[in-house]
Amino acid sequence: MSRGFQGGHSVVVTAFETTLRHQFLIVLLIAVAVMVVWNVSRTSRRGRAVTAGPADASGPGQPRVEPLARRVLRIGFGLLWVFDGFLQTQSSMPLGVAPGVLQPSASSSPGWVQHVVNVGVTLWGNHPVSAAAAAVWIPIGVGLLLLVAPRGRLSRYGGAIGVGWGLVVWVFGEGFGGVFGHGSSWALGTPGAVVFYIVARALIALPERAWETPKLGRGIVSALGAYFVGMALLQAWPGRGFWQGHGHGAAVTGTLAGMVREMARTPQPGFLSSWVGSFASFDAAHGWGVNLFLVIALAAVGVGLASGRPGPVRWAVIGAVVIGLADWVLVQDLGFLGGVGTDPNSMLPLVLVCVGGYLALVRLPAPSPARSAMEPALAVSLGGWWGRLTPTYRLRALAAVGATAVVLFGAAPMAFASINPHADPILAQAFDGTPSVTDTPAPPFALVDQHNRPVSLASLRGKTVALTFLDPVCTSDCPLIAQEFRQADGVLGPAAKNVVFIAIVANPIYRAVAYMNDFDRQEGLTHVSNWLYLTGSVKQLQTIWNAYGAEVYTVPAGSMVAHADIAFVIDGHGRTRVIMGEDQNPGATPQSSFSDLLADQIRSVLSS
Amino acid sequence: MVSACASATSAATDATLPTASLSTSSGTTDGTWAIVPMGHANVPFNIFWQVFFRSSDGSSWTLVTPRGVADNGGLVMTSGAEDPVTVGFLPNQNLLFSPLALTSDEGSTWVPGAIPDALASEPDALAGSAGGDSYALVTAGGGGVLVATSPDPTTWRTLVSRRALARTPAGLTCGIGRLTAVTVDSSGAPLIATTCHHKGVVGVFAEHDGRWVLVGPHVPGASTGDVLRLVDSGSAVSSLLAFDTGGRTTIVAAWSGDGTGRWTRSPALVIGSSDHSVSTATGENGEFLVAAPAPDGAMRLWALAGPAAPWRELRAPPAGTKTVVAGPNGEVDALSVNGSRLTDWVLTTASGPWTPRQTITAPIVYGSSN
Repeated sequence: MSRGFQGGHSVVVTAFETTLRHQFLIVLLIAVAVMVVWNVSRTSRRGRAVTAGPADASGPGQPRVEPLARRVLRIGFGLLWVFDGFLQTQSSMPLGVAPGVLQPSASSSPGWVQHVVNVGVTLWGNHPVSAAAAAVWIPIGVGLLLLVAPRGRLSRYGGAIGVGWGLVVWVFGEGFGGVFGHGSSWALGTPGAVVFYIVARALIALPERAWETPKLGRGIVSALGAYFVGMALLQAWPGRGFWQGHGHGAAVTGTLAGMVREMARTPQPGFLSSWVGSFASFDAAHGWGVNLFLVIALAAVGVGLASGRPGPVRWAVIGAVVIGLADWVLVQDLGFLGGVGTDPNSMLPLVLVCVGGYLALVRLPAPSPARSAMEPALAVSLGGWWGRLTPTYRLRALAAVGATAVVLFGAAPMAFASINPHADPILAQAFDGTPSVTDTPAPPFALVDQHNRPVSLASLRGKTVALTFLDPVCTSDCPLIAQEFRQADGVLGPAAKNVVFIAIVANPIYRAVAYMNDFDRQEGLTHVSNWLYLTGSVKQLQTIWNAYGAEVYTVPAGSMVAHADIAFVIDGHGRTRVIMGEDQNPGATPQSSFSDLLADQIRSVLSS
Repeated sequence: MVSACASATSAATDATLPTASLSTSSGTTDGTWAIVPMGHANVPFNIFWQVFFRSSDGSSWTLVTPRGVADNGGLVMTSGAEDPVTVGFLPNQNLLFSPLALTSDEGSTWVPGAIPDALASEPDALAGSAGGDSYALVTAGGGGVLVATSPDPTTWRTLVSRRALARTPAGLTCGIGRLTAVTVDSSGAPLIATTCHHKGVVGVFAEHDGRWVLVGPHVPGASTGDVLRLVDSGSAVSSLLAFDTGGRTTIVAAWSGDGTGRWTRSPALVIGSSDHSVSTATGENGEFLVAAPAPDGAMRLWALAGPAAPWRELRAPPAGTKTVVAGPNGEVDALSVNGSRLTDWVLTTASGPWTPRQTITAPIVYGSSN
């Protein structure tokens, strides 16, 4: 009776890919616009140069050298954001993220975390194409902004935008990185990769003066030191399953060993599978020893970083890079292989922050002479500021504006979708197929309604009829379909006054008016004025079921009556105009998906 | 004739008191009815409850499950003393009220009906009287008893709500928990059973002169208790009571000629821990069967032949037994289930072996309820 999401997957995937293609064209247009503006400005500048001589290369438009630590963070995280965006283009994203990423991220967390994450799950589930497309363009835009805007307020504002988006992803996408869940561990990604993205973006958003003294670098490495020591304690804490593998007759798989074993099973290149598989076996056999090494390593790195002195910090950063990359390969399995990987997990960003913190401590730039030289883009007067920028900087400023446009372009559809409580009709189409448009005479019927009043199709001339077949004692689909009809009535608003929603009983045994009234009470349809539930004799009903292809038949041994989930839109002249499947898989089709689709079809018939 | 039940229950429970399973069987002058959950026990959508009938002059069961409603939520049945026999469908997934099916020809044909509310998940949630009245224990509004006095089994009115019953002097004496059973006595008057939070009080209520009064048996020294079963076999009202005695369940049976007079009590039967479902059976002549899981997971089965008789432990029923039934001549049947296949095992003597007598395959359509 139900097909589930798998049957409709291709519909959503196709819609997602089409959306991405269209949006890519718009992004290309943005890029072309940037290039055109840059070329026009360059041409204009050349013209002025002919008149006024060469521009003053030492003016406020000439950028100074960016602090190395900031550049490492900016370029590193810019590339990571862009890579994340490209990972989001996987075809499994629209339907796979909510059940495969969002829900599992909070599965071991307290109820309130799951409740918060469920907001994201619902939003994504109701608008999978918009959400998945937004998840492509926002990180790509943020990453491009980081890469092309090295200096000035645009770069810093870009940092702030990244912090905001990072918080959204961390809360709704990662369930607070699992920090409130059982089994949180440095090795498994606690406190979530996005936290390091947020930290990096926050650092990039700082005024550049902050990078001119070792104070910032000392603060970064000290905070990282505290983090590593905390993670060492967490890793060592007894009773959390990290001290056991699966060997020596252990009845329960250790937390880390279990994770590694799962990772080894995901699809991946052969060489990596071999490495991860070997480590999985080693960890299963020596879980206690692996954890001891990890605890000691984390503690040593933490102490070294917390010292704040360049020597120990250097060795601690080297240690963090080594164990981080080892964990990234052997435990986190590069983070994005198999399943619906949305980023390379926590180790790469952690390593980048460690390196950035070290460089901020030991590789300081020369002090800036004046603010205007440090933040050239907007610090000069509007009158001549553009002319005093170097061509390269002008291109970068324009590209930054373009990247910001990409972010907004990605965020806008999602923002509009988020205020729509109804799920996208694409989901109903995914389940039930695209509505069939036709123009044939609707089979006539003459029955009685829930108030025992006679109703015929002929008596409804002039009204648009949305017709379906419902079993009043059905346990699964029919109540959901009735709700979709009720909601379609609400979606239509004033236009509903020209529409009659009709269900014909689809049960040859429980077909009396009493059961229909019980059903109406159950579904809150008693006071819906344009709702009719029709019944008649078995012979009458059988004729109508056959005419409409409803295929109603009883099933033995405790099953409900089987019938086709099908709906028709009949115009005011008694002609069938639309035929729709309406398979309601409980728990899989977000509510109101079908209602929007039905309302759309009714509107099109009303307006034709 | 004795009826029995086993297997899963979905009834809400008070504190540590056990609950009665919904798998039941009941005897009538025409034969024996049995309700058996079949299918995939670990997938709720694929558990399909079946109704079997065995005529009093035959030895084989027939599958007579009424059609038209998915019964994955469970079935309850009138105790069978009166025609018609009524089967009620418990709420299930998105179905929030309870359709009924009534038969007067041993399940050959069924007439539909419905209760506008959800039937309580109790084996004795439905009762019928010789006068044609029907009673139903429902969950709406915190619980209550509905009565249908017309031949039309779709028009019901409230007899009494749990809240109203709890506010009566008798209800205050009891400290009513949940409603557990409804039956009718030999005069056709309804009896309502409840759990009682107050020690030593057995929650059986009858209406006298417009007032609800306690008419249950007195059990000296008893703790808080539950009426697991309350059935009228025509000649007597039989009840099966459970008490929590320090984390262990003690079972006591009691019989009354009219349900409101003197009660005769059985010896106490201690069956172990209280936190499980207790499978029970009642017989036409006041017999009882009680089945409860042992610590090792196997099922233990006890029989009580009637007033003044001692409890007897029978040989453990075969694995997969869902419903036990007392057959003719002191035989006991165990209906075991393996997916869609039901096997009727027979025990002719207390210590003798269980021997298979009949196998029936139910044409279950898996996946049809989701």
